[in-house]
Amino acid sequence: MAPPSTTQKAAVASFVSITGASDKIATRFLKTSGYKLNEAVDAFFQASANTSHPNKLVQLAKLFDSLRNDAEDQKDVLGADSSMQYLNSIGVDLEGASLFLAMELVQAPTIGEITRDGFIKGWNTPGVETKIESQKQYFKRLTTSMSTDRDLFRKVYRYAFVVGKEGDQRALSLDNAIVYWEMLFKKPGQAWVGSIAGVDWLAEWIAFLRENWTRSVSRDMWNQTFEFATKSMQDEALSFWSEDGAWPGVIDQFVAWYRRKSEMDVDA
Amino acid sequence: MISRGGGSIMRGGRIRPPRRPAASSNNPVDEFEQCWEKLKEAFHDIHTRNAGKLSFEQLYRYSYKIVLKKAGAKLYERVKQFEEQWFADEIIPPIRALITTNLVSVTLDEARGTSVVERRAMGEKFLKGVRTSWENHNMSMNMIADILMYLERGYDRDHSHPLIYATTIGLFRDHILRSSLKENGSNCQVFDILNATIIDQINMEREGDVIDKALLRSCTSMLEDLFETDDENPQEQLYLTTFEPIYLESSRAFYKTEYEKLIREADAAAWLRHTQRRLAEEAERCQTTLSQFTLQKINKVVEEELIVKHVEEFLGLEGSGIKAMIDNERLEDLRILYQLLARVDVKKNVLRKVLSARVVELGTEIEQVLKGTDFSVAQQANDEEPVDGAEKSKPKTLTAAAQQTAAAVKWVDDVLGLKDKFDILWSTCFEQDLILQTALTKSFSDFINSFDRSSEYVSLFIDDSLKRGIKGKTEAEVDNVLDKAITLLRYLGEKDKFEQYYQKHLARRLLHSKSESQEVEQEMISRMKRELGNSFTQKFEGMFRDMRTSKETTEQYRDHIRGLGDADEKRIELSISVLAGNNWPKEVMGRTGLADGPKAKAIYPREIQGLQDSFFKFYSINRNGRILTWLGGAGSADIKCLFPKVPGKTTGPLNRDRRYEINVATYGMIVLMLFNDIAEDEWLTFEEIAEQTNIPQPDLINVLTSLSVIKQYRVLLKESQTKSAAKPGDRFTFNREFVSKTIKIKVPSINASNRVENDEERQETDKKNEETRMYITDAAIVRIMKQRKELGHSSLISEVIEVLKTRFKPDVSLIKRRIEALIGRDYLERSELDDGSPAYQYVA
Repeated sequence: MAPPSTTQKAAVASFVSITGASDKIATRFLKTSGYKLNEAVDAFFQASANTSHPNKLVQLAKLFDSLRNDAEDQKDVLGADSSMQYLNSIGVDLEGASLFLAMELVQAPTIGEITRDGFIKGWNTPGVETKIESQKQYFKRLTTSMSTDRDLFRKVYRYAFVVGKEGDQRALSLDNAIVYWEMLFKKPGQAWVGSIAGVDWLAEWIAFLRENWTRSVSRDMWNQTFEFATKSMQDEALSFWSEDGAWPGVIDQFVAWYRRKSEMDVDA
Repeated sequence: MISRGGGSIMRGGRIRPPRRPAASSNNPVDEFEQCWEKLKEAFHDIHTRNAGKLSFEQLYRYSYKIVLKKAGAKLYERVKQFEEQWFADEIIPPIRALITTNLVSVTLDEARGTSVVERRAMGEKFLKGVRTSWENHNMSMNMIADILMYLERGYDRDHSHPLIYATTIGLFRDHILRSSLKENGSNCQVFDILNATIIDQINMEREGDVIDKALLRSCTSMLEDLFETDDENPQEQLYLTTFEPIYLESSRAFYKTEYEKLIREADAAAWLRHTQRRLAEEAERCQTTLSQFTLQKINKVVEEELIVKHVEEFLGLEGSGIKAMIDNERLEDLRILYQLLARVDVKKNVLRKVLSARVVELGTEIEQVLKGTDFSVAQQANDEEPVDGAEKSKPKTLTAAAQQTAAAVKWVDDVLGLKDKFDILWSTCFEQDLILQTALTKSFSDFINSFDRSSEYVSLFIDDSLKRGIKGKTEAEVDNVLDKAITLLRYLGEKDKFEQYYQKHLARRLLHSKSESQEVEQEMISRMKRELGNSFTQKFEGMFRDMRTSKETTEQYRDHIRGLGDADEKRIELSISVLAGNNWPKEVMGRTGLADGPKAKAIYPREIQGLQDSFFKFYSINRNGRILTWLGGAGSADIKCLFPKVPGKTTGPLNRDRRYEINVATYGMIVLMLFNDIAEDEWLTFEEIAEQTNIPQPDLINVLTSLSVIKQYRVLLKESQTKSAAKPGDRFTFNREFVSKTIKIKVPSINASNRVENDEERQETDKKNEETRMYITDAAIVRIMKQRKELGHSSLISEVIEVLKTRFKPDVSLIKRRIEALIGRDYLERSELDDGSPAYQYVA
């Protein structure tokens, strides 16, 4: 058997960092998936969910119950206060991207609400003991990987729309959207800043919206903003953008607005 | 029978050895010299035109002998030497004599001291000299070549020499044409002089002198017969290598100066004719004076110098340029222009550009003139009613509206006039050129579509024509009007807008029976159908269908009532139009967006209500479940009115009872019926009427105004007695003293005529149109995506445009917005194609 290549080694390392499993297990799963990290991780979690100790589920349920405040919370839901308390205890920064990371992890229906189901499913992770402390550790690892793992960050970003919108509304209000953007596009998330000249895209984007956008932010706009953001971090000249592209109108407008503005800056 | 071979030899019995040639014993050198001597004499005779006594056979034998003796090379050289000598002695001196210093200076140094006549004579003399010596030489050489035929056959071929003829002819080139003129004090060749002289002659002809064309032709044909080398390569005719370039260059210079002269005169017409003449001249010159080879090239020179480089300059000339040509219909000029431009550019770019520009310019002018007219009308209206802008004086606006309609008709007429004009130009001057037709069509549609009222105006034009325009016209004339309408329709980009206006106008025509001829209406529709397809006219046809079935329904209802045997004297005749909701414009259907909230139902008088119920019962017999909504705003009523004799009046019409049949709008009828129920001198206020009838205020204003303001129709008296429109607060009473000359009176309903919309209405229409477009776009996108399931962004956009373009020109941003909206409503989903380009997926 050939010794593992560097990329394979790196894959093993990330596998371990994501799942907390041993190197041996990591190698096994990676091999069966042909060293596709995502598939391997999925397979791992699937397998572990099936085989995981029923015991662990009970423990998680117990932990959930211990977090509940009987006076305020319903049976299967952690209310706002209990949630905040819990989130604080595992080291979530309520003002930053890690809030959405946690929300995504436990599939919270809205901000500040954690369901029993989501909690148990979310934390039924092999290698993470059913203790606040080890959850905290695991969460910390996850938080750090968010700035480099685009897929994870995208998942979190997209979930922010789901968890952030109010009730059964179809869209986010602009104000909320801006708050969320500000939370997501900074450490430990990915800062929306040009990688070369350091254009502060987030500031430009928000300035543009405040000036020109009066409507709410639809899911499509929210998701496309992410695509636009990741691209504009790489390419500050925005050469990936084209009028004939499929970008939503608001992004077309933003590009036009930004270009006009930079031209004026040059003239001035 | 088979003879035995060799029989004759056997019979002869002996074989003779070949006879040695007698000359073989002689010294070959001597014999050569002898023969050459003879030949030389003969050559001399030939050159001196003294060949009559020579024997060709004899001479041929000499050369034959020489060649047989293998002395061909020598003979070849000798002939050459001889000819060179001959040139030096006999030919060059006379030619030299012709090249006077004067000639040299005139032709080469362009010293124009001498007069044209002198110069021409001198040139001709020189050319004649050259020609004579050439012809002599050529003839001599032909004869000599004949004599030396065997040399050519036997020797030249073998030794790959140029033919003796070619060589001797070439001598002329080398010794005459290429001889230097050092002794004359200039470092050029006779050739230069020759060329210059020919060109000088041609230039004289261009200036209008008569020259000896035949002479020039023989000189140029001499050049055609001579070649650069003795190999006689056809590409290397001296004509092509030496003369032609110089000729073309000098022509270019000539035409450059000519252009300067022409532009100084600044007359495009003169320029056109001049250029045309020059081209013809040059073509003829190539036929008669020069060579056909040159035709293409010289044409190109003239075209470049006189047309291509300066056409824009000439066309831009004030007073005679393209503008003047088009405006003053200088057909001849334009015809020449087309011909000239067509020869220099297959695509006629220049012409296309100027024509398009002119069309757009004239089109915009029409619009400007129109705006001017509109402005003055508005001004007038403002002057006459300085106060309350909200309640415009109705009669005034009516005339203003009529004027606006007139403006619309004028616009259409002007546009059509313009179109006719360019059609004439196109067919008479531009040879029905397809490229130009496309360009013209495009520029027409450009300026028509840049005018934001064009759709409305075209529809109004048709409306006007169908109402009044076709009265008393022959079939052919009507046909012509329809053609015009269709022509314009073809140009319209926003066909959906037109559809809306046409629907509105058609509705008015149908409901108010304003249409002059059903047949023509139908014809119009069927033409539109042919031009724009079935779906475009669907609604219109539906409207006609409604009218037809309504007529039948009315009949049936009448029969039905008669069948009931209810012979009621007071029975009211009902003529009903049952309109299907989709086909008719929203305004008619009482769903106008201008009124806020659902429209209140007008309260009909009892008699009418009974009628309505009775009809509805009848209608429901066959059509269960349908709902009829009564549209008071769309109908009209005939009322028999009795105006009782006015007490105290003993004479005049007021002395007796008067009966009139008044035709009013349905709402008018409702209002008038109110006055049946009140005491004679009682007044009703505007508000009371509004309350009792529940007629929407704008309609009520119209109705009251039409019944109380204009003198001929003043069935009601209004207080205050002004000429302005009825308004809340006014009081009304029955006009006892109403008099009319006719029994039947048709009270014109205000607003019933189709007219140009005001700004508010237009905004409304535009908004409506925008909305309709949104739905249509949505539908198109969904239809496409449903079929394709997944489609790339750009393909989707282009397919949508393709689908929609018959109705209007959708902009990409609209389509994008609709796609986004559909994503928002979960009809579509973003996805990616295999190459990573953005795409959409249909969500079932």
